[in-house]
Amino acid sequence: MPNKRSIHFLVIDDDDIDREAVKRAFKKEKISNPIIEAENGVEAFNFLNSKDKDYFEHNPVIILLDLNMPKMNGIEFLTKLREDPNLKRIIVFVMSTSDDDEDKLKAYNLNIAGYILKGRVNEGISKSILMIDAFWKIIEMPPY
Amino acid sequence: MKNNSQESLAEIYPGIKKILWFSIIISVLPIILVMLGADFSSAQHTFDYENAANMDKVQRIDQHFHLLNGAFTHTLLEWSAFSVAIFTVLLALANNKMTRSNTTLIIAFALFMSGFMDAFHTLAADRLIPSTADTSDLVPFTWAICRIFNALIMKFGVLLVIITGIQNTKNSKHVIFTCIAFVIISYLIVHYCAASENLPQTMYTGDDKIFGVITRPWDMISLIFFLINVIFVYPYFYKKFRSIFAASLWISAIPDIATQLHMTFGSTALFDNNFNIAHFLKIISYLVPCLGLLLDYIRTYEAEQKANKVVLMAQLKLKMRATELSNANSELERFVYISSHDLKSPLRAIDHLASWIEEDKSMELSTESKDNLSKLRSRINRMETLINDLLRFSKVGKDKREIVEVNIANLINEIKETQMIPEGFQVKVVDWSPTFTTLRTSLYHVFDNLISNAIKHHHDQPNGSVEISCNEEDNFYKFFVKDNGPGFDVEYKDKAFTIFQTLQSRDKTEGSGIGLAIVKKMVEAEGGTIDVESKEHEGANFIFTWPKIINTGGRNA
Repeated sequence: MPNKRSIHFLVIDDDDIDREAVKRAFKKEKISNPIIEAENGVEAFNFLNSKDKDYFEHNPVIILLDLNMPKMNGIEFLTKLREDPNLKRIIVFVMSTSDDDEDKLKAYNLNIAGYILKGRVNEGISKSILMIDAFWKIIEMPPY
Repeated sequence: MKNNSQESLAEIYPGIKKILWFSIIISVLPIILVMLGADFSSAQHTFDYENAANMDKVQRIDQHFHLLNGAFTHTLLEWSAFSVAIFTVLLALANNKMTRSNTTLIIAFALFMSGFMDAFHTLAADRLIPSTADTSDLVPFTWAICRIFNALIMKFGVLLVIITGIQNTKNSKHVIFTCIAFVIISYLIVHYCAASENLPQTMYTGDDKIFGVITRPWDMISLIFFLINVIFVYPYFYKKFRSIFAASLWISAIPDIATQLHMTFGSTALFDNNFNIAHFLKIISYLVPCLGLLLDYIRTYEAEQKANKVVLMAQLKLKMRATELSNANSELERFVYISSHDLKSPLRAIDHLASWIEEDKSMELSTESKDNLSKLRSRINRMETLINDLLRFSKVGKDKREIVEVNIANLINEIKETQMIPEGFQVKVVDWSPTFTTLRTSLYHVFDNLISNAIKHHHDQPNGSVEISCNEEDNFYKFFVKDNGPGFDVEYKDKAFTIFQTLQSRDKTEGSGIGLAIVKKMVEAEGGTIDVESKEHEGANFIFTWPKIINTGGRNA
């Protein structure tokens, strides 16, 4: 296996407890990849645009995206992301409470890697996090 | 034409009152004017034979016209009456189109027939129908016949309506045939009179007057007939049909009788004062029913306008209600959306926080606090279940309505595979089960909910059983889902089908109790019914009907 680049996770969610839940799950499963937080799409873009080519070459980003957010919601964010020539190949997982078929269709049409339903209460998100961890370890990241 | 309610009678009263006063005043006016010195007789001219040879052509023609003065007046008066009769029958036809009632039509036709007889009488008097009889005999005699005919045919018309009860026959063919027959009869009568060599004497003057007062005994007969009409026939008709027309018919007897009085006791010669007054009053007697019809026509039209307005208002109200309802519905849908998304997120957050406290501080927390935290999380869990169930309930009837062939036995087997059925618990189809095309998804959910309900409420699960059976009815299949569980008191059965009602405390059973409410909603959305038979400790038997043919058009949900 070639030297894996260090993956950075960008968690975009307006609910700080949901972001905290992701962080806690990472910690619990002993995954040490850096986590960058953004409260909404605008903030996420600010972060992405502030980084140069060099950053992405060394630190490919995987986005964990919530759909229902103020300012710029998940679908709007995805649409804009896919239009950006530098960012359009970024791998995105949607993590949403919405079980709506329409939301799922819209998200998959925008080339997401997977749609994860934030499960029922009392069910942690560890499973999802483990899956994502396994995902990046096996999958070849798009070259920058 | 029937106006049975007191209200409508009061409504027509002013109009009919005017007609009554009009008839009375017109009927007595001529005699008053005569008393005041007026003379309505046609001027009597004689042909100046001696000087005729010396007259020029114009003068001679003038002489002829002067001589025919009385005949012209007579013709005009008679023809006016005939015209009114024509107008009346036309109005009656229009009325018949609107009300589909033949009553008016038949009476109007009777009037029309008598108008026809008058017309023939006039034609004969003017010698337009070949006649050999002397005018001074023919005119009064055929007049008397006409009047008798008039009085009799009105009786006949009324009796026809009352006895045969042909008020609402769809085809008025037999009315037309009767009319044609009467036209022919009336022509034949006039024709016979005109051709007759010696007609009986009709006018008696001076000392010849019968009982010293009666100048025209033949008109006495029709006078008696008209009196019978006014006393017996018309009131009976009015009581039976209670319309403006019936009332006006009754009123028309006033000028009729006035006419006959003028003739019977007054007229001693052709075209004299009483003769002309009588002819004029006859027009009035024809005019009154015609006015009644007109009034009736206007009133029917107004009533229809009013009814239209009411219908229009009702439609408008209905539309407004529909808008309100659809607004309320979309409000509800929004509420459900908010519940599903916006309420769930904070709930999840609370759950996370509670679990983190548990994780982080498990060493420091007292047993009681740990217990409380666990209770907190179980309530959060229940609240999420409630929200999800609410969402499910609101979605009933919103799925795609796909109609496919369904084998009930296979459907039950499929449900058994997906349900968590405890070991030893029996779910089986007994006897026969149908295969038919229906809404598979809905029916699946109905059975799924009923079976899971039976399992959920069973204490003694290893020995539990659910039996599904079916009866075929005309338009429905009747399904029975019978368990041997604890059952419940049927007193609470309405509650069993109500949203968020469970008959046991929440600790004993899980679930919000939405299952049966969903079942009820689904069954009723397709036009079926659901009921339950149960006794405590003796199991429950859920019985529901499901239509054999699904209505794919409208949706009742």
